[in-house]
Amino acid sequence: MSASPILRAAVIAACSAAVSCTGSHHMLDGAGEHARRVAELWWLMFGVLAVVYVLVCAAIVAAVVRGRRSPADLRMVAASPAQERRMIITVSATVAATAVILFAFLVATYSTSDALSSLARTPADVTIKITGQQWWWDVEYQDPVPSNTVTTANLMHIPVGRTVQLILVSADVIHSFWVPNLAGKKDLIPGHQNTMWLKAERTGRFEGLCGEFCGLQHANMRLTVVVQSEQDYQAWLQSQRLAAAEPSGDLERRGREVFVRGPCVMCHSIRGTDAAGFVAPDLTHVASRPRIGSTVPNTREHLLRWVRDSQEIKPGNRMPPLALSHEDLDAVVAYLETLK
Amino acid sequence: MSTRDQIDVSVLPRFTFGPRGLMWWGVASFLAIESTMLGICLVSYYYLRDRAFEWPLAPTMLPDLLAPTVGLLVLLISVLPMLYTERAAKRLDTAATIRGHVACVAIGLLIIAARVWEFRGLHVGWDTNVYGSVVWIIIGVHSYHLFTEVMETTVLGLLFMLGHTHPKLFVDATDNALYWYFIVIIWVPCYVTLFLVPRLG
Amino acid sequence: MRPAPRGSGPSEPAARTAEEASLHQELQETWSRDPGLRGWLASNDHKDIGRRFIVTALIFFVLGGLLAFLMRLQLAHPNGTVLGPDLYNQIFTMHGTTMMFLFAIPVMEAVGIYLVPLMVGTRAIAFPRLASFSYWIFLFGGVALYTFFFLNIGPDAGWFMYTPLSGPEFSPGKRVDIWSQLINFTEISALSASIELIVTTFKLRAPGMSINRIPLLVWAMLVTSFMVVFAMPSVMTASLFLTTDRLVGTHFYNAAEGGDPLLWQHVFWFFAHPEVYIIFVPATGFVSSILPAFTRRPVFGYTALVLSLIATVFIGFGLWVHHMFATGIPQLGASFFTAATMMIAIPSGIQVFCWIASIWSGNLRLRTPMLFVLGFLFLFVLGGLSGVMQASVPLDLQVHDTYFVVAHFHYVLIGGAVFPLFGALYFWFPKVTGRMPGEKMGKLSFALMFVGFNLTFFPMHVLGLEGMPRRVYTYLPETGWAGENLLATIGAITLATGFLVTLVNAWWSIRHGAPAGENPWDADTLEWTTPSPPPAYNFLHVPVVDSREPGWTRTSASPIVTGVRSDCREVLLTSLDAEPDSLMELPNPSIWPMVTAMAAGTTFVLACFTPWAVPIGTVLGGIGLIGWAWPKSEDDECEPPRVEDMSEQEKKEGAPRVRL
Ligand code: HEA
Ligand code: HEA
Ligand code: HEC
Ligand code: CUA
Ligand SMILES: [Cu+2]
Repeated sequence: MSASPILRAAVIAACSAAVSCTGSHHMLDGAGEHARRVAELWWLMFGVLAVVYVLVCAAIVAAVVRGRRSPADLRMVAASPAQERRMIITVSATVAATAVILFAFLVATYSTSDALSSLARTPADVTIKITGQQWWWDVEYQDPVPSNTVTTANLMHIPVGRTVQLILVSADVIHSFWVPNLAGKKDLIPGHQNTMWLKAERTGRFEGLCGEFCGLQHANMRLTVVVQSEQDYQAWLQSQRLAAAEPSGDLERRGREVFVRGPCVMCHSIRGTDAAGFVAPDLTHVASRPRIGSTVPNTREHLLRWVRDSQEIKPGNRMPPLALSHEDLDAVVAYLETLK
Repeated sequence: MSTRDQIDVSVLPRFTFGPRGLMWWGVASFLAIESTMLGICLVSYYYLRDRAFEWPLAPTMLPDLLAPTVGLLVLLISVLPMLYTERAAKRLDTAATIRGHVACVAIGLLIIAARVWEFRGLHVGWDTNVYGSVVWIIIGVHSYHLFTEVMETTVLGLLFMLGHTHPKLFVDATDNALYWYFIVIIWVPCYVTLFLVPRLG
Repeated sequence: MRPAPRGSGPSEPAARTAEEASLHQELQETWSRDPGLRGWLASNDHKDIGRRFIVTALIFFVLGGLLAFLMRLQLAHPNGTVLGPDLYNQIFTMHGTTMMFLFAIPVMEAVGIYLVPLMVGTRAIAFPRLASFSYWIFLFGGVALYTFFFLNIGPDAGWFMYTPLSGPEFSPGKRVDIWSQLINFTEISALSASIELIVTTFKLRAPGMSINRIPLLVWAMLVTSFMVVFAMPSVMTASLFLTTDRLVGTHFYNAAEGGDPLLWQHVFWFFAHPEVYIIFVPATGFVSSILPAFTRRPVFGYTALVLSLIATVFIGFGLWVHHMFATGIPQLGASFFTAATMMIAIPSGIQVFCWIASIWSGNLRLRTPMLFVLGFLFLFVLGGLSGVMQASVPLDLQVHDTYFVVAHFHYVLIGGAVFPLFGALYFWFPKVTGRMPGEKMGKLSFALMFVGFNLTFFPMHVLGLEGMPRRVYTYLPETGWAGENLLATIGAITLATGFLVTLVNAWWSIRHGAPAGENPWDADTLEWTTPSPPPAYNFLHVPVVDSREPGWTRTSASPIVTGVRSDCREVLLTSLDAEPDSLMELPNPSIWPMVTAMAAGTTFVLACFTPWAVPIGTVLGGIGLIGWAWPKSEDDECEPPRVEDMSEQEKKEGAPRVRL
């Protein structure tokens, strides 16, 4: 189905930031079955329509050139009946060609849709429930054994080549799940439960962004997807199943005290401690995430700034600034850093 | 000037009834708009009903049937005095037109009274659940039209009584009749939807 | 807003016979508005209204454009610091809302209000007071929206206000309420304007202008008006539901009580998809009107063009779900909407090919309006083709809500509607003002706009493919989106400069442009057979139309209508096949439409705060309407006699019809 390589090269060259064409959120750089098939459909439609566009432009230019016979002459031009007839035939032919092209597109669209929905008929190897919240993703790995359930936020690991089923729900407003390299969007709508299927075809790290405007921090509602080999994935899953490790140092222990005695537990949970809030990201393995608040890289300094006043980093997010003393702050952050 | 063809139109009538005149088209367009709006309310009703497990949503009871049925009958009957009024206006018969308006206003007030009674038999508030919301909005929009139309008929009747017996006013009276018929006809699907469909289970 | 000071040439009809001079005198007295501010406010001359409507809509265009400019500044670099998220969200919502509801729809209606009565050869618009009302309510709506915005209560949930984000729980405060009230203002204005245009086209055409002689712009305005009539009630209902959800606690969009957020999307897009054709179809009318003058031939394929317009309307009502593919619509339903959406490319294709054929077989003059038409062709086709790609469900799931879509709709909105609009502004400028627009500045403006436009919006396609979602107030440096964004910002500056040149051009030409005369471009429709600017009464003699191109075929010996009173505001009504049918007196200018608009405006603003607005508004509006419709004083010799004073013969309507 792929269009000619020349066209392909032309478009890639047209991307002024050629690097980003191969970056981590380019929809034509398919790393999943869905995205790959859509990219093929794209190249087909793009190729045909590029030709159509060039032809139409050529026709306009030709008409202008031919039409400018004697611009100073204001007399009416009377087309001969024969000429009018020729034009009727030409216009009808182009309209017919348009209809044929559209019909071909329709067939291509339906066949792509069918191929994609066949994925839905294969049994899922992994089922993940994703809850969209203002403005973060709650990611919950379903498991028949409840204690094996894994919860993370803004981060999802999946095994390559396996069928992954996503159950999409919303806790507040409409969001849209979108990882361009893997698949198209699907909305998370209050009162509805949507399902989508992913099948990654190569390993790597891919970025996702919320696809539906959801308020103040829609721009910073990111999700990182790590596609791994089956072994790596299992290893990761195992590590995530563990409860939070017992802190070793004094500072860290003090940090845990602050966390479970302080305001944090109202919202957050850390498995293995008394913290069991459920309106905010699960922090059991927060240190293993690439970003804080899906906005800034996960470094000590950013973590410190986040806990001191997350509003400075992600204005409007639902975590209020908390008046912690310097010492408490240091301790909490030190503790969080241990939660690998 | 005498060399050009001229069509002398001074003999044409200076007022006409029905689709020959401007006002009829204005009223017809307005009614197209209002029908579309009520139509969309009704479609929303069915859309919401389709999504619900039971309808009316528990624990809401079915609406009473007696009051709306009486209301519907009175509404249908009201077409008769309106037809009388419209005919009288078309004959430019002042006395009969005034009689017709009085009768229409009287029956209009009766319909409004029936409407109040209907509201009391709905057994649901607009803020109880979405069933209540959509039922109230449909009746509300229709009642608003009903109220406006009775007011308009009253004003027209008063103008006739005050002696504004220009042909234009008679034309207005016939176009007003169009609005009245619309209110009657559009209520039929609303009645079926609101009071019969939920009974189908 | 007054046309150029007269005297130096344009304006007064070239004095003809003494008879005609006295007719002019009498008509002028009958139809002119009263002097002074009161007369200005009360005017119900469709040309006054059309002019102020256009100017107001263009002011909103500039405001919306300045907001876009702020967005572009913010997005020029990653981690931009020009705007915070709260302000950015208000600004993009205000930009979209302004452009769609306060600029694009109103300006199209406005041009219709100005031109349609002239093009069909009548002295006034049907329901002139309603026309005046539709302007004032539009003005008050726009002013109210911007007042709230400057008070930091601007709407901030996007121009399509998805629930539940816009619902009572997630948008407390008044920001969304002012948006839903703005919808009321615009919808009433647009609906009134549509009724006027429909009835004007049906009943006020000059004798002889049968169905197959109606100018294409009038056709376009007619089908647009029908779309408004059947689409606007939908958004009216949607926003009524939203208002009651927010104000009195109904649950239409509340999933917890059985409501459904998707109901909003269906009802909104059932309006908003036709809306884009409400904006686009009049623009096609401009194109079809401009072409004949500059190609020296009638547009090729009149019948095909008319049928395409009608097909667009019908298909246009069956496409709305293509905005909702990502919501999880069942595949079967989605396939239907894909097919329907692709189908609409056929009527558009027919139009494009007919226009190209006209140019091909004509004798082309590349004056400014024509340049805008050519620019339109290049840009609209590109935007249309990207639209066809989005019709494909799997593809749309990728590009939906990215900058690819932003690129698509600016190509069709600016390329497809604003370029023809600017062409139209240049084309009818001499008719409206009596003076020619500057040609050099016009060409310069076109060049800047064309280049600037492509610089701004072409890179957005690429941004979309690279995964940039729309409605983000910022992005991270590592995304690699910086280059295209900077380019887009530079393009936007060029584009804005292009607009600015046209504004300066208009400013200058109103004062110093060469006098235009009746028909400076030698165009083919009726408005070019009357002086520029047209007198208050439009036509000295109501014409009898005997061809599709009266502007080219009429001479001083062409047939005319006599017997329409010149001492009264009387117009000739014709039947559907344009036979003279009856005469009717239209109402005088009146201040009441403005008063009623004020009453309605107060009601809408109050309705942001309390449901008591409904009864208060009913009373206020009732007072306004009674003043508006109050019968004229007793002894008006324009009115037919009272029925008591009529003979039985007179009462029997159906005086002999006049045959052509
Ligand atoms: C003037 C306004 C205008 C016009 C005319 C159009 C015209 C079209 N639009 Fe567009 N559209 C918008 C304004 C407009 N649109 C807006 C504002 C939005 C976004 C709203 C929002 O989300 O904020 C939108 C969004 C939008 C979407 C949803 C995207 C998404 O959110 O995911 C889709 C999807 O199908 C679509 C499709 C089309 C199609 C198929 C046409 C067709 O009518 C185009 C037909 C024309 C041609 C195809 C070119 C001429 C034809 C030929 C030269 C013949 C040869 C052609 C072929 C062989 C194909 N549009
Ligand atoms: C007819 C409709 C129309 C028009 C004409 C425009 C015109 C422009 N639009 Fe937009 N746009 C929309 C309709 C329109 N738009 C809609 C419906 C949306 C969706 C909103 C939503 O998501 O809710 C949108 C969204 C939108 C976005 C996406 C925002 C986001 O998703 O975050 C952007 C981003 O660049 C943008 C840019 C522009 C620019 C640069 C122009 C330029 O063409 C404007 C240029 C004009 C001027 C600048 C004013 C005139 C010039 C002067 C007076 C000269 C002097 C001024 C200066 C030198 C600054 N528009
Ligand atoms: C009122 C609720 C609330 C309280 C109290 C609260 N948080 Fe949060 N927290 C949140 C929310 C909501 C988020 C997600 C914000 C976002 O990304 O939009 C969050 C995010 C975080 C994150 C980033 C998580 C990630 O995966 O990116 C950290 C770390 C964090 N909180 C630490 C703390 C600490 C430490 C405390 C106590 C000192 C605390 N929080 C108290 C609500 C809260
Ligand atoms: Cu969540 Cu946008
Ligand atoms: Cu659409």
